[in-house]
Amino acid sequence: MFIQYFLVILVLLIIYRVIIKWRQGFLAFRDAIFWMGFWLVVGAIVLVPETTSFMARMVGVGRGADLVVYLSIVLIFYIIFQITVKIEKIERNITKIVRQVAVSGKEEKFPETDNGNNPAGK
Amino acid sequence: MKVVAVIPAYNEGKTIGLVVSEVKKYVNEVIVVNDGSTDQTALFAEEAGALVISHFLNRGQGAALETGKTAALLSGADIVVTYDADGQFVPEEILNVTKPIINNQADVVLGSRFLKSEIPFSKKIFLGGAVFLTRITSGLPLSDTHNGFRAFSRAAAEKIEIKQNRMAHASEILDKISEHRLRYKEVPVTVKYFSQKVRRGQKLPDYLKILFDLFLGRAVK
Repeated sequence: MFIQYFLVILVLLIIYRVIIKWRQGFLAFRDAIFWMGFWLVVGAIVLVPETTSFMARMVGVGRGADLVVYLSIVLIFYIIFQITVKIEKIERNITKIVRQVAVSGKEEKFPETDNGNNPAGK
Repeated sequence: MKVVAVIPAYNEGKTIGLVVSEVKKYVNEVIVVNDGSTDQTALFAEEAGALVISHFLNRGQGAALETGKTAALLSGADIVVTYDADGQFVPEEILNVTKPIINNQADVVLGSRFLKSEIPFSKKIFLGGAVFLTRITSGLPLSDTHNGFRAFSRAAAEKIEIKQNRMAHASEILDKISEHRLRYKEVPVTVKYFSQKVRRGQKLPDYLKILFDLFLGRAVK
């Protein structure tokens, strides 16, 4: 079927991109392995769609296509969660930079910048 | 004892000048953290005699407090008082808030509206919800959990690092008081509610946001 050829080519292209990104250092080895495994599974499902029906029967979901949709949604939520956590980390790092810039401009106002533990003023 | 007031301010140009000049009478130094304001907040604060520290981007109240606290510690503060820029607090009460620390009865003093002043009923219900949640998460039996009027001893200020950029910092501070087993005390403070300002502060969606931020805070670490 045409859709199968199309999807297989797409999956191969994505796997190629994953490898390139890993080689260039944009993807950690662990993540590269995860994504390659993920897309290989997708490729296998595209080539032999019956496997999903088999798995769906195993776990008690009606149709193979339904199982794929359910799993995809779970995966997407997980990825969104990870991205949200990542953004929060970035936000906190931005704050650290902004704080550093804000405080470093005022060094002459702080007589005890050496360790910040000077009990002066007592 | 060097008492330093930290006032986070984001576009508070209308009130900041007066607040700084009033607060100055009761502390050794006033540090205003201008949190990326687009108005004249920094200028008016400086004219009123505050040391102004400016975030070049708006980072939120929690972030501004942490910056102010850092600056206060650098300038040799023995007591750090946090105070709101909108003029809802009564400056004389700084003396009540710092007293338990001067007398070595507490490491952290928290202002509480509910031990005093009149509060609109609608605010009471929402704030009650926040109080209840805080009791669950931090285990501290407090009457008011989202009050910006606080005082920290130097040692407490060094221990409590505020990581929450936004409003969830209020709960975070309480969590850290309990985590570090600091001695705390609640002191009644007056909060003036101006009719146009009742809408300020926390609304229901804000609480959901705070809860989400707290949850996220655990996930980030």
